[in-house]
Amino acid sequence: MFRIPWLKILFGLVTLWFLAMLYFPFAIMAILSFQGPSGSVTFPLREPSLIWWHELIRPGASPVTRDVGQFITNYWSGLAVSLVMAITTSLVATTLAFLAVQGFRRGFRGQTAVFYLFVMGIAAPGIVVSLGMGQILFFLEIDRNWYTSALVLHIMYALPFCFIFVLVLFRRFDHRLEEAAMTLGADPITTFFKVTLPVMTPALRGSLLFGFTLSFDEYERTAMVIGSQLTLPIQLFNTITIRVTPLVYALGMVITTLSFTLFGLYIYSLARTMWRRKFSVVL
Amino acid sequence: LVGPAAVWMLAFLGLPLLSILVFSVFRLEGTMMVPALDFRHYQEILAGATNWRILTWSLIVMATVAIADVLLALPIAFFIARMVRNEAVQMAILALFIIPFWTNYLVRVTTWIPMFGRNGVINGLLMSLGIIEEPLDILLFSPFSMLLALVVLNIVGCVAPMAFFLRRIPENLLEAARDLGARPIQVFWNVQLPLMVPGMVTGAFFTIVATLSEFSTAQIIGGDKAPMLAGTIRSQILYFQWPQASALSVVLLLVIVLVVSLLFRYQNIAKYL
Repeated sequence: MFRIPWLKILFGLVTLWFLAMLYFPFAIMAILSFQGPSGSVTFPLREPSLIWWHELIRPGASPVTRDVGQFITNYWSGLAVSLVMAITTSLVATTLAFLAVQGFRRGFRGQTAVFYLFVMGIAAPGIVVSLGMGQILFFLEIDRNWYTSALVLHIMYALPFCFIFVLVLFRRFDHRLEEAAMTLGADPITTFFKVTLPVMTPALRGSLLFGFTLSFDEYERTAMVIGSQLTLPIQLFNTITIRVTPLVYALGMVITTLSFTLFGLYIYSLARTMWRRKFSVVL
Repeated sequence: LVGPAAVWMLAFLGLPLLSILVFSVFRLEGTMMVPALDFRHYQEILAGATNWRILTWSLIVMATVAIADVLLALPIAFFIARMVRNEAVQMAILALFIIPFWTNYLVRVTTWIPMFGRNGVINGLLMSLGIIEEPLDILLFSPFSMLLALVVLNIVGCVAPMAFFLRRIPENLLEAARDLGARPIQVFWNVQLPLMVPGMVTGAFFTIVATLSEFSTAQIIGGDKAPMLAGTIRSQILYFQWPQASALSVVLLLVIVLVVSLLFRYQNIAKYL
């Protein structure tokens, strides 16, 4: 197949084209976030300025944007809530996922049922889960809070992704390492923390990253259960549905930069592990 | 050891889904939900032509995006897994595909706003290149624009698993096929494609699940002209029509379970994990 040179060129071009399609919108967004005060959300770029960035960093400070002032929210509170939720979700989901994977490695009755429960967690539409949870809270008259009702749904959502990621990476784990440790007298818990976990650091870090990102970007599941303290994605969605201004692009750039940096750090750590161990952990 | 995770899923996934089922037969009196065993919301869904149109449109969008993504990911996965020789480069290209997935989905949808419209980037590019004279109507905030955005937004879900399974095919298997006289197209059709099916099914799964739960793209890019199931549920929620929204949610869940189980029946991806 790959001996046909023109096919390689053609497929390479398709790949390149799609990469361009993936990144081009981000580039446009970055440029348009420097739109002038009278500019709209599309080209042309009128009197490029930092006004929208200024507005994002210090809400309500710049007089020029007062005409859209009523839509401007303080995104920093949302960012704080989202960060705390994302970190908690990532820690809890990763712990639960690692525990579950240990169980799956040994095998147990009802394994398939639990597996499909996880699949359902990925497949169930967020809006449906959110509505269901919202109805329960409404009927039982339970208060909605980001640290209760919203957080448990975030963990529920991240858990299947963390689980499957960790499970797939564990397939490459050499279980003889554990057997060797046990033969030498280590108990299961010591073995796990001294042998299994250090070898599986890529899985651990990846799962943490998965949990963090899924929670940090979650909108649908959060919508009906959040209460009064909004998360960043909810603030973002509320703004977008009312009116899109270049401020949204500036905010988008902040979120995107944060996410890409985290992912870049993970890839860097993965590459270093691969380099040291001379094998591919992912593919 | 599986206990905590399973209990968590049952409590915070199982119970909400159960509540959907329960509330879908409740009656709505004014703004009050009254416990009842009333199937009128289902009757309304079955009787109303609008709902059938929404359902059909959702299925069309789902199928179009899934098929387009699997087909488009095919050359990309081949290029990454079989044509690039250097493992580090393979990883790098794959990472480039995965990176955009890591940012907020809403932000990704938002980045498509300047692309469309009469003064949109795509229309502008096409006009300045002299390909078209007038802005194309299908590139306004239309269902077509939405499909285009959805295909690009979801491509990574197909590229990654397909490249993964393609890479797992041992080189000597392909050599054996070639030595036995198979032409490149036969190697592809009889050896590589069948071994890639799990990757394609995984990709289709992610795409299908994503498009069926999707409403923000329809609203932001699609111009809210042709709502899909999830979008309709969302507007019903906003108008406090919770029992109706629950009944429609049950329908949506049934569609998803049906499509996903058909996929898994065709190819059980669980055994590859």
